[in-house]
Amino acid sequence: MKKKRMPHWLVLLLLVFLYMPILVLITYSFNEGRTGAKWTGFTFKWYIELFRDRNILRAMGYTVLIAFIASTLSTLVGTVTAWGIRYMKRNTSGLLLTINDLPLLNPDLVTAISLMSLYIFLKMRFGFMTLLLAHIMFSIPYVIITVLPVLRRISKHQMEAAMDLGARPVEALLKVILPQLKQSIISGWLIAFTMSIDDFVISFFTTGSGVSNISIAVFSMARRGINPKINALSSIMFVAVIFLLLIINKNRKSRKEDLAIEENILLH
Amino acid sequence: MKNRFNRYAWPYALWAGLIIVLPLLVIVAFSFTKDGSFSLDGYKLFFTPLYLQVLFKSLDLAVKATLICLLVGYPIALLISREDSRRKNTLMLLLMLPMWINFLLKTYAWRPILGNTGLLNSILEAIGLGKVQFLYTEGAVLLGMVYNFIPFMILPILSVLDKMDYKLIEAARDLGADNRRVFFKVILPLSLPGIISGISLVFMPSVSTFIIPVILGGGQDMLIGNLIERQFLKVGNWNFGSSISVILMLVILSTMIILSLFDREKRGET
Amino acid sequence: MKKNEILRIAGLTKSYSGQRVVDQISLSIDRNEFLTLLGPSGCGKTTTLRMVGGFETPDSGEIFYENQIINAIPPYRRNINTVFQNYALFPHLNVGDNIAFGLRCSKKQEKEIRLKIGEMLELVNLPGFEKRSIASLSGGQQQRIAIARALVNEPGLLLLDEPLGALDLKLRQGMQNELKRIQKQVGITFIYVTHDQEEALSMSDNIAVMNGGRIQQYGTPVDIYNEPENTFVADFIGESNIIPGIMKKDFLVSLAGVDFACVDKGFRENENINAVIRPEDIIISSPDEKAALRGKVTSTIFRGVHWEMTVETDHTTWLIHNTVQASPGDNIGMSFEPDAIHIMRKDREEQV
Repeated sequence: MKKKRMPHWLVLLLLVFLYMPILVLITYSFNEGRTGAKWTGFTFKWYIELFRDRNILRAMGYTVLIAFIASTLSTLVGTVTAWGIRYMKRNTSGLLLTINDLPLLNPDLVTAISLMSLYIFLKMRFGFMTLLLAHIMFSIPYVIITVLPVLRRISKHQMEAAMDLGARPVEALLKVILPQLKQSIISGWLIAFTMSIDDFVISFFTTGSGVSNISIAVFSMARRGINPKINALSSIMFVAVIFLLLIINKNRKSRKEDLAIEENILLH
Repeated sequence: MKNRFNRYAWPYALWAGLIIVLPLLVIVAFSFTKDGSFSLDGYKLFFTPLYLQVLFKSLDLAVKATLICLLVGYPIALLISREDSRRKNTLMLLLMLPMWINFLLKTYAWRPILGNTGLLNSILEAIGLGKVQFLYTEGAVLLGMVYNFIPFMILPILSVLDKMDYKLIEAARDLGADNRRVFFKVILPLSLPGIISGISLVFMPSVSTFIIPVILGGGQDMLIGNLIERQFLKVGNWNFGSSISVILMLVILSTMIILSLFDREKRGET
Repeated sequence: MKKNEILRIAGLTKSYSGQRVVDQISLSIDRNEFLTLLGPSGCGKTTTLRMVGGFETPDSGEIFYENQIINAIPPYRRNINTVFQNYALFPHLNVGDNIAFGLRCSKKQEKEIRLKIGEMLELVNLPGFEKRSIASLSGGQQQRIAIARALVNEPGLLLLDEPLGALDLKLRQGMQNELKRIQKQVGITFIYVTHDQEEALSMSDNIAVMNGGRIQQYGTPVDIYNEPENTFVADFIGESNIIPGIMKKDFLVSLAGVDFACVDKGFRENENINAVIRPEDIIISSPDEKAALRGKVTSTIFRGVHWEMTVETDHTTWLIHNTVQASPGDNIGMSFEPDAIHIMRKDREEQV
């Protein structure tokens, strides 16, 4: 009895609300005029100027580099730590997990200035390293909360069974545990990567000596007024995100697992 | 064998202590210092009308944003939960997509729309009404908050509604309840955990944001987030800045405690 | 050391957080024997099994396998395999790969492996299951694959940790027969852990009843059932009436104020003892002088195989299993044969 009718008008209205600004930006990114309200002609010039802008390109480079290093390191450390947590007593692991939750629960701003204060306190020089450390700091918790639940569902007896059958501990890990964790480890990496690319507040307070990322670059430009290069940047990022999500969804076994992992993060 | 493995977590535990716990302690320490010695000046300075007003404005806007998100988001979550599986997944994906788009860009995207020469005003002029000052108002900041955070309200509620056992609704109907009763007595209470999640996921970033006031609010020190930023980056008064941060953390902590009183289920979970 | 002995444990002890979980356990197990460690939760049976398997290290004591001490040898180098309580099958591998796991670890040839997988599946009555996924198997089938996976490595000793716990009654009984058949067919020693005394009685060559980390009694199922050595064993195995009494002299015991002829001797004159009488051994008659005891029925439950009745006499409450029904309120007479009375010393009692 379910007819193929459209979703409720309220839902559609929300979708329009959510996507309109972005689509407007994308449209204006092709507009000849600067201010954008009046359509003066189709052009690619803002895109060209974007790619000529050294600052932005450098910022993009830093963004990807930091995201890549941070997420890879965090995934390694996070997975090993999750393994350790699995074998800890509930009391100790509870404490560690609560601490682990702090960067996720605290507002960005508080985390950002606490890190900045620490760096000042330790008289560190602000730059690439301080930025990278900050990104690793908030990425590892995401990996842990992604991998740990999956790990917990694997019976402790499986390692024992593998060794009982003749596998050395490392062999058992590689042949039995890791294959079952593969999905969540990759998810963890992707989530850490995305969080890193997207980050503004923490990066803003922990970077220095000319190291910036996309968000910081946009912020500086936006502070100074409307800049069509930002429109062009938005379009590119929007398309990139859609592209990424489509790829991820094609590779997933089940979308429900995907959504469940993202929910897990949200609800944390 | 058990004991060997739990050592794997110690390196991270050490790191976490240094980079998560220690910084927070540093802030607390800073908040109680001035020129190197103990002082409550930071806090005393905050509890003056000038700064308290900032706190109240932040709370005011954050509460308004949360309410709007709740009143608009809940019905939408309900509507989506009633769709069939494929459509529901598509809608959820569409809802999540904006969350992966850069926060700054999303916020900035409203400038061409709200500006004096922007889209809305162009339409208003074309119809014959005069221009309206949309940008650089409290309303714009509120809009920015709702725009950015409403998915965080809808998705948790949707997730809870999704997992709800429809047998309970059938049972209520069976016992003679009409639609209104079913909603208020069965669906709403059961979706409470989702509502609580949604509220905290909207309120927290709203009360502490400083980006939205800068981009859409005109860069004046409107909210508590801006205040903190200014103290740290422009004025250089870290002690005062830390005091404000501690107060912000207390606000958030109290909110979480109050919310958790409503959410007995979550307490059981943790 | 006996010639036919395959495993010997001597003085095995293990404590957790100051609590002695296994307390000086010693056992000798022969080839092809089916030994069961029987006892309630927490009695130390699983810990003992895990020490033999190599998953726990004993605090003291030795484990001898084929007369070699194996305490320091890790599980992957012992010629012993385990069937775990929840099977611990690897969900990301199919049935065939699960079974082949151990063989692949010892780098056997693929051709040989495929042959062996086939043989094992035949043995456990699941031919053709090589490509099936673990998730598609029922409980009983998973059970059998777990056994196949362990046996394919041709261990000298198979350890089974409450393998039938998750199965329903009918399936469990069927699997008990299967396990016994497999054991005899392969010709391998089994050490089986369970808390289910019926299972132990029906499958084992020998049973070690455990409680509080100690072996309460070791013997054949018949011996343990008929001649429990202390209250714990008498209580744990089957139902029993445990009646305090006085051993007047050899072959004569006074219970509940009445003298009975019995078949036990070797006690001191007028020693305080406990007598064990199985509920199914009590004969019901009319409450006249010929009956040894008289009592009133207080409850009657139908158990299918028999009626279970609770009877109150002056001194004690008795449990009776009989195919004859007596209803609550009835006055009945009770008596039993001399060999139905089993006398136990009081001092050897463990605190239950």
